[in-house]
Amino acid sequence: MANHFDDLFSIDGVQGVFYISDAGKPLVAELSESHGGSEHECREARAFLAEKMRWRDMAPLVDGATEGEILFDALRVYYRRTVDGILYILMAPGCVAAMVRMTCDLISTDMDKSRKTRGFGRFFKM
Amino acid sequence: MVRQILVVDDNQPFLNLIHKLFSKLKDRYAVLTCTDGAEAVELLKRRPIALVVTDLQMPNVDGYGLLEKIRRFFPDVPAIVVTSFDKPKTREAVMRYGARAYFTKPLVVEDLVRTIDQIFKEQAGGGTLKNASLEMFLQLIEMEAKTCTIRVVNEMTGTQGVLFFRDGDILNARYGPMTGNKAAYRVLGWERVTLLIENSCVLTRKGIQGELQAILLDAMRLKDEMGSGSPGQVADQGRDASTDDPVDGDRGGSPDELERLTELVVKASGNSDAVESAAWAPELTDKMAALQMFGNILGAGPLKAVLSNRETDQRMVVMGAGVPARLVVGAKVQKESLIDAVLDV
Repeated sequence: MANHFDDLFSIDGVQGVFYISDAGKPLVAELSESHGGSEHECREARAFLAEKMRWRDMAPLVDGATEGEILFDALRVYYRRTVDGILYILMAPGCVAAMVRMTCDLISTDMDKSRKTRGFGRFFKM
Repeated sequence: MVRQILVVDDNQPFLNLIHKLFSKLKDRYAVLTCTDGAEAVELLKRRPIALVVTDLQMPNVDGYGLLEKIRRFFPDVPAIVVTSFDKPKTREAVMRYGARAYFTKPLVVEDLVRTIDQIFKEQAGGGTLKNASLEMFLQLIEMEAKTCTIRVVNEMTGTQGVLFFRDGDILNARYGPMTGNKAAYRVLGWERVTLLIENSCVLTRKGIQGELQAILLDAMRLKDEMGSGSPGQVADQGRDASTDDPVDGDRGGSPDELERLTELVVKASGNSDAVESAAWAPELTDKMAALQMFGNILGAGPLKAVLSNRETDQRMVVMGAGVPARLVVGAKVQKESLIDAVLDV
């Protein structure tokens, strides 16, 4: 799965990836410097988003949705519901959303597979 | 108030050093850095930068190019030049380009900090007003025919706008890269603001249409139509609706406004049946405020909308201005044209 997150960052214009569990806990919080701030700023923003952001307050807007986009004046955020949580991908203007979407398809499939193997699949061939 | 200073230099060790030295002053200044003028212009569009410190020789857009852009598009942002190419005419040239001060490398940081302090002191030379009534204060400026630059800080979002006055006449407004009437309407729609008043104005020509009274009236009308406030005011609005007048708060904006949003989406999609339903959604106000907070941390600017693809072959669009409007759109509508329509609103 980590490779897939690297794949996301290799897409032009992807500036950050956040993966938030259904309980509102950040499982992945990565912000690249290309989002515009200095290294120090990135670190501070990443820390704030990872520790203090009220992710669960955002989630209900996404309820009932499989995917979508949050549109700001200077940033687009693609989000995707997965089996365990929500992926948020930060995209600069001009980033090809279709590429992001395709990579998220792969990540979702991987997550789905790893979830299935948590049960009897760990012991028996299904 | 912590002011954001942008330092532009292609010399990374110099930037690291500046970061380190300014970290001791983090209660007053937050330093952002970048390595060329083009990047600096992008940051100026997106962040409430209070001052720029720039080198002259840089790739892409150099220091002169950056000074020119600042003078044209961000005239309220003072610039200081720090360069190692000190030639007799350089100082004269950069001052002509609008720089407020000029330093040569090696730099004595204390001198730079002293100059920055002095510039910020002048920016608030006419006083600082917290929780002021912007509308009433501007009318006083007009009555007293004052010349000043007013920096307006939105206490809810931390965003900043600027209003320029000469002899009581409003000359222009700026909000990020936005100028003129559009910027004025945004800034005048804010409710909880702090004002920093500078007793001078760099502009001499009018770049805005209409007199102050007319602009104020238009701003108030737009604010009413959007159901009280700009996107930055979303959180405030939720509170007002629940405490002051729940009936009005639940009502959202006018039916006309909802119809206008619907028409825009229909026009962009080229399909008259594109919008299946449209309604105000005050229950989403707090959620939109949480999203705006997310955007603020990332310097993403105002929240415009949220698009959701649902399993039911429908798309839901929640528009971010004022009380959120929820539009249900058929899945046949192209996503990109929908996004274009939403971003145009």
